[in-house]
Amino acid sequence: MVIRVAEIVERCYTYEDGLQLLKIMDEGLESNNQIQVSFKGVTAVSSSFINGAFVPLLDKIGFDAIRERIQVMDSNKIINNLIKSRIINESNRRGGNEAASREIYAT
Amino acid sequence: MHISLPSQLSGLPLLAFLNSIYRITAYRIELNFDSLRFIRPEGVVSLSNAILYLQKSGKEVVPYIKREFLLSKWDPVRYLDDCLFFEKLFGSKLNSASLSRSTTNGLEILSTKAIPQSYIIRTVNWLKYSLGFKTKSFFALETSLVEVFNNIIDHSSAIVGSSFAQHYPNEKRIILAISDFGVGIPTRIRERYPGMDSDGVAIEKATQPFVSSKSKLNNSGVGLSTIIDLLNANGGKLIIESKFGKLTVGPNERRIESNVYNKPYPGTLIHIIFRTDTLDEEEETREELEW
Repeated sequence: MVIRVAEIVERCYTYEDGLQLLKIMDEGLESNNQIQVSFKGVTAVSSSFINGAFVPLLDKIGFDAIRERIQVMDSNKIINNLIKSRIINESNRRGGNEAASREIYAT
Repeated sequence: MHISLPSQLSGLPLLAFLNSIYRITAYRIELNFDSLRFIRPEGVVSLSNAILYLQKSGKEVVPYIKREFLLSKWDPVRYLDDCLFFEKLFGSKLNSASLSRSTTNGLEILSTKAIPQSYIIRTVNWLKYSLGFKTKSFFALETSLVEVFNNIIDHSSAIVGSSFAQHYPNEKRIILAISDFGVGIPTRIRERYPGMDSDGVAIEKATQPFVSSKSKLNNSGVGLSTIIDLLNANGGKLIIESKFGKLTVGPNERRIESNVYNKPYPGTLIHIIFRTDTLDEEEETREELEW
């Protein structure tokens, strides 16, 4: 299943915009083992948007499942670094993945 | 009450003027623009906020201009008129013949409650047109603007806010100046991290990743650090002034200052200085996220 972010929200500016994407990803994950999230056509992504869209997934499915079940496509370095750093940092705050944290900050 | 603007709206004269408005008790204020000789983006947004603050306080502010400013496009009052300053703040241009300039995108009065989406898009499109980069998305610039505005809304409790961008083609850079009159970054940071030595140190703390005040829980505190990362890649610079503190971050530079002029900036002033000579037309490569 491919979720096209540009078709879900007009802009990826706010936490509330992120919650809209989260809702669609939630629905996709309920009925699909893996979902693809495409950022094609997206011209800016804020950290607040990532907080709304991706961080709550840590509580819903956990860090390992995020890595395995959500494929982020048509993205760029800025978006990818934001997603990774937010998820790994929050995962660590919840007592999770220290090895991944060391790896991401070493690159 | 008749008040003359300083000849230059920057540095100590700017701060002295901004701090003086809080002591005004008169209802009607004639603001004399004849004395103004030079103004840059930080002066435009700071003056805009000063006028907005007085208006929101219930005062009547009237521009006072005698000199013939229309003859020269280099005159700062003509420049302000071309930038929609008088139209936005007082309802009409000084001179109906004033024309917008291709090197600025005009003054924007910010809502303190919502992201100015259309302004961000207009600014990016103006830049594309100015630089002749029709296809480039300016992801970094757009993201930087969004992060700044998110911070204002989430943290500042701003009373008023203004934004202004100027392109300097000869210097190959764009300066975006964004100002709010609110509680200021040092105040917010000290709510969470009491005992900060100075306002400059508090601003620096705010730019560290994952440092956030308590003001909004869904703000993770990476906004300012995101902007710094984007500007590092561009070779640009970020300057933040708030209350008595100032932080400058640029290539090979990270300077923390406090009490430079012994007068506070009544809120926060952000300069984003973006280089245009390090941009190229090619769209950045799209890629998958790899863990």
